[in-house]
Amino acid sequence: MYKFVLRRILILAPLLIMISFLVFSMIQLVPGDPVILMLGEYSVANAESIQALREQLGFDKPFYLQYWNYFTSLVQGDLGMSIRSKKPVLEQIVQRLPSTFELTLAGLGFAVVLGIFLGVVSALYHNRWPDRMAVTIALLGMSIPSFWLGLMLILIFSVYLRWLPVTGTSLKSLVLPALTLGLWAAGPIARFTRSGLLEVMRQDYIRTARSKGLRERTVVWHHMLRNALIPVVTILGIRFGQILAGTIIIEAVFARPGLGLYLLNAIVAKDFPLVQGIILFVAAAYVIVNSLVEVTYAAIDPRIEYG
Amino acid sequence: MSLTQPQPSRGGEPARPVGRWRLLLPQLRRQRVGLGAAIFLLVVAASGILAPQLAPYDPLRIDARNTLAPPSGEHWFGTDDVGRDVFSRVIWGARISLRVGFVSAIISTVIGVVLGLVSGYYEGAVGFVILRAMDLLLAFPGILLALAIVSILGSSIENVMIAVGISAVPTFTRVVHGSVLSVKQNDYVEGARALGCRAVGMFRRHIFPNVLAPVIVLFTLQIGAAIFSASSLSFIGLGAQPPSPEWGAMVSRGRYVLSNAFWMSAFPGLAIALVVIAINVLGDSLRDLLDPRIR
Repeated sequence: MYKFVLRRILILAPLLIMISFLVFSMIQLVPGDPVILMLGEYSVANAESIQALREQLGFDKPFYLQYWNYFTSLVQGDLGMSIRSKKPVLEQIVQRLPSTFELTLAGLGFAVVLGIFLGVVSALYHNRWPDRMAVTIALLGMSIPSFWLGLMLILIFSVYLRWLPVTGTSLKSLVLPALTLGLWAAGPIARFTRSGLLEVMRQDYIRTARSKGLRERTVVWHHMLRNALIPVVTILGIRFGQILAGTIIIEAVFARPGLGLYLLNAIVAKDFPLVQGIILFVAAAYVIVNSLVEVTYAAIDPRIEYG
Repeated sequence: MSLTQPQPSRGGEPARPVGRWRLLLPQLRRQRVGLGAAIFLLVVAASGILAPQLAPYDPLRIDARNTLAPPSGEHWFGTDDVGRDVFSRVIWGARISLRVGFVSAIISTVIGVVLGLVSGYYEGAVGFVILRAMDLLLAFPGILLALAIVSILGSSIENVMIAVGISAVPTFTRVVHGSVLSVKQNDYVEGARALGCRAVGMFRRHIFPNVLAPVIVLFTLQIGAAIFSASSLSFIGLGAQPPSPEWGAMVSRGRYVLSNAFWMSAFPGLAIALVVIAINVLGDSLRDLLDPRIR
């Protein structure tokens, strides 16, 4: 087990370094002079401020040295300074993280509950109408653009019925965004649960459990689901990343002041250090969570080789 | 029914073996929903192509006296905040969205398949580097990679096609890589190699035909995924720019008047949803038809 964890860390470290390199290179790939692009119309004619920003960002140094400086500050938790607000990037990220984290968790939670429920209904009523209905709901959830679904939910529940607020920071204002996000992410979970259960249902030990005279509920919950859900756990890490990225759109729809909305504003404002910082942060969070999920997966499934 | 069993011949004609299509036909009949989706998509594509003839109004013509008019016999989907006919704009939008879907899916397919074939065939250092590069791209989940690329290239519908296209490359590479590895296990590939078959011939004759089925399925599904992502990017203002009648951009513009003119957002969004649903249904049907292993 220790060996397995160690190996995951050994894979993770170079991946994180590569991510930082790719994110750092972003700015080099910008067509034209990034400094002039960043300053925009504020001070096009001002050669001094251009030179100052160029030095601040280290653009006067060779590429490898620039990356080295970037990397060493990164290790010390320094993600650079925002050009617009002139505040440290990490501090700004940490400020907006709770809202995004809250939404991600709520969305993931809803997606897991709905996805497993739909998957179980599908498998238990295989090829009958509840199955078709569950499969259809899963398909709709995956296909309907979340930004539009969010707006339509606002229209129905906030504008017409007046049940829920459109924006705000209360728990009530979390319902619609989490619902929108969860419905979108539930589809693949439902499909995995369904196919996993259908696979498990054919196994001999299920027949044994039934012939022992166990109640159907016990067979379903204790014997089938336990094994069918193991592959579902593996895709949770991936789902987490997609939901985290999905919050970017959802925060824009519901005007939630989180990391995603902040990233969009930074992109529009051409605040590249901020854009780089947020993208790096999200990617790093995603791969770290994914590794944790894999380790957990190995821990709950004794059939996995740790070697 | 066996593949090679000769059919009873008529009038002295030589008996023909049952063709591939003959075998597929009964299966095709079972895919009624998929067929319906395909017909719907053809209608959407045709109306997009024929938009100049079909659209009742100019999609860009501003009519200041007729803003935010609700749906009526004259304007089926109402008019927007500057008096443009929403129905005409939705029809023109089909053109944009389908083109975006196709072009970016082709970008992902071409790059992804080539990288997948190469990495599967040359398992050594080349394969390793390609697969690690794909892992790196996959570290940017969902729409984040496309977002990063658009923030580098700048906001335009062309850049969105490139960004969305690149961000789906790893999916294709991984699937093709896996297929190549399993195809290579077959004796006939080994035999061809022993007979001196060169790499190019090997790809063309033995490996590519075998990975074609999953690629066709993925390509179809990717068109839908690309339309989904591209409209999301346009919604947040990083894709198609006004006054383009792009569906995502139209939904975005409508949200500011959502409570008194729902039709501005509702209809273009419905168009995206229906097209993506149809593509996903079609993709699933194709998967059932072409790839019985993953049913």
